[in-house]
Amino acid sequence: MEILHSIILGIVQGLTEFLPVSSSGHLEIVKAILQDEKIGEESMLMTVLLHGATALSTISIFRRDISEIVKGLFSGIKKDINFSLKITLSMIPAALVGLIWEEEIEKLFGGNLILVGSMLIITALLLYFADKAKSTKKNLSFLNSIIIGVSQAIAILPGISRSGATISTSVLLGIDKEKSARFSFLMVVPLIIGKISKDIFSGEIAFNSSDSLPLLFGFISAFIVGIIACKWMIQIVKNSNLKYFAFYCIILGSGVILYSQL
Amino acid sequence: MDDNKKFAFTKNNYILLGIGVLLIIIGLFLMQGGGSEEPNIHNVDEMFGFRRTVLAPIVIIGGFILNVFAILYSPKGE
Repeated sequence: MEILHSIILGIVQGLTEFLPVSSSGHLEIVKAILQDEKIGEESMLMTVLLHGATALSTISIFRRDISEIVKGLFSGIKKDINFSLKITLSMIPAALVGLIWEEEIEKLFGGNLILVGSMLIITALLLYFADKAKSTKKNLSFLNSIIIGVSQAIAILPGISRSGATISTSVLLGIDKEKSARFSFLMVVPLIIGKISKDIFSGEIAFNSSDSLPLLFGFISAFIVGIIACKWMIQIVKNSNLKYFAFYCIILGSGVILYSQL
Repeated sequence: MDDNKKFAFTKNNYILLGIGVLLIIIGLFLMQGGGSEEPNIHNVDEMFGFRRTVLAPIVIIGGFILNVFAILYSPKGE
């Protein structure tokens, strides 16, 4: 494993974790165009470390919020207990789908370019309508957190962006844009930590000391780029600039469907 | 969100972060090895022993948890 290769992986992970472009959709497109199924199959250890790095980026950006929630939980403050419950509720759909059907979904939809293209167009529409939605300041209810959780579960499909789907759903439900972005990024942290713990204890991770430096550089680049991308995405949502990503997704989605018909 | 800008890291945060990363590295080295030179011989006890399947993961997870704590840590009065 080369250091440059791992830095590029870290940058890609840092960007795609937060920007609404669907990393899995792009991966399927690159695999189909280059006709190489092995692209993107990094070692489980690299995947674990890169996801860990972007989870730490999110925690860094929202450290004040997380500290207050944790303190509130221990002090029994109702607002913080409710927010934690909403985060927990929102995780359930994706956790269930991930645990029960992840492999089936990958087998069923992997390599299906028409599906990927269609899902990218759905992502584009979601982003566009969320961008054009009137700014309202509704509070996040328990029901809303379940609906946002369902959109996160649907985003397992290649072509649907997780951050795009959850932020758009939240904004379309009338929740404040900045709060929507905050909830979207916070709701995925416990899921990532759970997935990392499961993978580390799976016994399938192999480490070779010669990979130490590339792994370290990959981790650091994902962490730094993750912080930049997370802050950038919050500004994009606040300033109603999601439409540019919508245009990108619709052009790419249409292009992919046309390419699959050639 | 603006409050986070005022919530800067102190020296202690960086020390804790460094220890967290060090724990992850130690965990990875504990996980190393256990393979066999001979393709027909599998050292199952060696490969799936306590050190590689229990101790090393706990040390790595401990490193991650310490990193999270390091990021959230804020000394009183700062």
